[in-house]
Amino acid sequence: MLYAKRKLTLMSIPCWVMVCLFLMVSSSSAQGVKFPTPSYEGEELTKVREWEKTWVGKKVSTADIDQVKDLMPDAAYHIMKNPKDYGAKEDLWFEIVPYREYKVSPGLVESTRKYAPQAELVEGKGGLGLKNYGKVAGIPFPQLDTKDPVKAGTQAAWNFDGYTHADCYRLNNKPANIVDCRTGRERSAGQLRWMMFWSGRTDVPPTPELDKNKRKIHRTFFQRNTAPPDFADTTILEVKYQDTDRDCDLWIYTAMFRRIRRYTARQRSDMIDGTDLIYDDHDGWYTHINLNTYKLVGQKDMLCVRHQETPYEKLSRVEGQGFWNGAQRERVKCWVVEAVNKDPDYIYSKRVWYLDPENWQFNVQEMYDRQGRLWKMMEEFWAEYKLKEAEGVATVFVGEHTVDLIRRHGSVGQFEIFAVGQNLNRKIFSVANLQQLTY
Amino acid sequence: MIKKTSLFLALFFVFLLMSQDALATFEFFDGKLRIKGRLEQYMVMLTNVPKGDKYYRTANRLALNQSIFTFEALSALVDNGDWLVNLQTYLRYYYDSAPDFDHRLRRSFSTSRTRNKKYQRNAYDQDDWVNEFYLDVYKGPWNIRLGKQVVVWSEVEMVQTIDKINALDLRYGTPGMQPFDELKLSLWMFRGFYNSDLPGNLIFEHIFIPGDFERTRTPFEGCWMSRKPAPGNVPKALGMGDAIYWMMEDAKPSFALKNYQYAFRVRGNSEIFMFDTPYVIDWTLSYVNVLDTGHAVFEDTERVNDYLNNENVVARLAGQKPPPIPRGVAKWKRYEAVGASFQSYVPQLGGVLRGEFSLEIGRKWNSVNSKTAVRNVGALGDFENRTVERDFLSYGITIDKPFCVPWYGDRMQRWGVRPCWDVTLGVFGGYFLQNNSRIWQWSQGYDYRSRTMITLMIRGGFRHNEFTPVIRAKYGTRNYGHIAPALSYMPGRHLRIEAGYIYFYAKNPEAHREAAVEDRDGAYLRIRWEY
Repeated sequence: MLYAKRKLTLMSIPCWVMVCLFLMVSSSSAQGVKFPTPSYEGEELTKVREWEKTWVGKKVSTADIDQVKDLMPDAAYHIMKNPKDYGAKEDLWFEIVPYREYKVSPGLVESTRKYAPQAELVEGKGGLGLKNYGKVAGIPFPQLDTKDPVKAGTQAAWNFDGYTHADCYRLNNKPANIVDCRTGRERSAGQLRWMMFWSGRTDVPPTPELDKNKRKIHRTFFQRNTAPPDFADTTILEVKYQDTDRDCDLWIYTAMFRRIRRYTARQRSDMIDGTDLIYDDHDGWYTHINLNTYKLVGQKDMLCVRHQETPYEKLSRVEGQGFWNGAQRERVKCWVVEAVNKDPDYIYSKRVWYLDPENWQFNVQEMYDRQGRLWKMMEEFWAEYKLKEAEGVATVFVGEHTVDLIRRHGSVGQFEIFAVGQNLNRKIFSVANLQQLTY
Repeated sequence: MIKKTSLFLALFFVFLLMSQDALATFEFFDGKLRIKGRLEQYMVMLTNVPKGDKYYRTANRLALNQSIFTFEALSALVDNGDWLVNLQTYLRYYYDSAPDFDHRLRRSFSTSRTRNKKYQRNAYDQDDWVNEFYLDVYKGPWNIRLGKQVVVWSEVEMVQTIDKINALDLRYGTPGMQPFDELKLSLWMFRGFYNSDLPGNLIFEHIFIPGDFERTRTPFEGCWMSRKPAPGNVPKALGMGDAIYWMMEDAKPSFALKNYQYAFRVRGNSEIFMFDTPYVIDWTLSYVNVLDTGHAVFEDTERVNDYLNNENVVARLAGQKPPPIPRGVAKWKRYEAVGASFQSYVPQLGGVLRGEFSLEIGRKWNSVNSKTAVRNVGALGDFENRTVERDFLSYGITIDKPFCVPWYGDRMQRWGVRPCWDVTLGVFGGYFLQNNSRIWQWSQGYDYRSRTMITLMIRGGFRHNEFTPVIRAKYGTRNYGHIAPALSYMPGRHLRIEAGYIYFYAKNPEAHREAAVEDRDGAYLRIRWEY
């Protein structure tokens, strides 16, 4: 509403009529909700385009990184400046591409329009929660209440949670490598992944929730390892519930021991198979939003990887290098949110989330140790994919690197996307399926 | 033989030197054929060779030097959306060259043929090299698996209760230290699943084994986990323990339909609420009608007693080779068992609770006269001309709980140490429901009606799990057990190295079969190249 009022004072009556007509026709704003939320508009966009005239198409390497220092995440800048420390034999480099607004699927627009006006943060057992969580969908707070940093930060976090990657995806994380940048030694990993949201769905019918969801599941995840050889066929099933006080359920079939075993999902600060990620870091943040407290720090203009083309061709690195070359970075104005875990013994003193204003997902995340030092940086590379069983496109990450700046260690991955927005058989996410894949 | 060993070792080291850029797994035909496997060298050196054993093994020589090559292939033969037909192949070859390098080890085996075929390489049975080979067919809710397979039904580690389908090969290792797909002896069988839509997503599983049979291969004399042949020191002659083993072996049931084995299991996944807390419980109920794989019962006990107490002992004490074992004196009997298992995450414990229970019904045992029998493990008292049937109840309960160091989690991770270490604590037990005084059995110590064991496993990680320390320990309440620390090292994509030590202790070696190996302490090294 504020947005509309500000425009009104500046416009003549015929313009006002035109704006009204525009809002009605585009159906992008309802009851004070404006969505999609492009990173740049108007003058800001003009300035960005002006800047791009100089930079687009340029290959920025260690030698000239200082010229774009202000647009780089601190950790990425540090790595770019010290390529040999991170396993590179020569300069690290990336390419600059023009800013492009994300296309947003009609399902996400419609869900956001429908549910965002009712969205409300309510104090619950675990902290500030989202009212009617599980029964609503879309981005709940497209316009943050920036007057209150805590509220705005929490809203941003729930926005992150509200994006469902078009409800389901199938992908192949291959290869992923665990890299010791100091010694140059690597271990490989590979996984086939299936993910489906059972509630909060925006694109693939039924929305916002699958029917017969008796256990009130929020999201399910199924993963079959393909590498390393001794972990091949080890399979994971994880179930996250709508109840934000309830731990996830986790089953793992260990091929070597031929057993389906339950595991506790509570050890979320443990490393994932020796990578630089802890379980909570999966997809940036993989569990309940109300386990952290949040604070909006502001906005930051950054160079992030939002439209990475053909990652298997463009991204490159040499053995022992824990940071990708060839990323295609573009300007975007990220929301900067600090997240502090409520567990006083938590492994990170804080995380800093750089959320994309258009899909509310991480472009970059920085993790700080308990002494307050910058410890790790996680960067996700995004691309747009056409939905298989619904209209429009969605953003899915196609690459990532997580770098431990203290240990000089990295985890790099590329993702081959099989399908986005395709309804998956819910039996995939069952112990019965796990049983079928055993031998 | 030395040539063969050298060739194998040479091949192994060539693989070690191969480029680390090689693919982690090999895929062909657009992923329709996937191949993996490994080359492995597994070495054990006993650090405690009792004086009496020196005739049969040389101190400071390898007691086991096993070279292993495995090849696994998964081929998708049909995948048309309606039918999915896979062919699973798992071939394994091994050769233990320790007896080639230590001539004393060869003295344990009655003949060089027995040593070579039954111990050094996997030619114990003709099809031993085929670890698995089966068609895996999916159609709708049905899944049929036809061929040679390994089945693991257990939920807990290190001790078996409901897991009765495939017998174990304990000649080279023990459960917990080696993967089950290596320890279990596969069988030709039909295995069918039906995935129902019933509440709890019940899965019905049937197993029918039309006559294939493998017995538990216990460490016979000459294996590193076994005592020396006794009594006396006689080269290439059966001791009394092996005499029993081979008399039972001689009675192995033929591959005939009358020797069928059948098993049924239903598996469910149910959510229940207790005090408003939801618990998702995985549970199973099972029934088996199987041939005993642990022991046969002697039917001609007069002949057996005569051989053991006279022919064998007398010959050995005279330093002579005993006569051949009597044949056709034993029979492998059938018994039934019912079982149940569960596992669930328990929020209050912050860990996973598992349990399993088994009731063996009417299992047949050899009978001895408790008044005359010598009370020690494996002691061969006079067998009575009868068998006894007893019911036996066993259970296992474990709790898995990660131990995360408070406050130091981030420092540990910065040092490359896993901040949370896996801890598993277990209690296992067994109990004869009827009088046990006449039962001849080793598995829990002669004349003991019950047994209780406590197990502990701790697993951590250093340098991003490049180094993985593990400690496994087992304690029997009659004061025996073992502790086995090990360290695994994964320097790259393919190479895996594991070094460990196993220390046995027992106040009374007669308390249990595992107490009887109290002097088998040893260090081991396993080098694997995975492809």
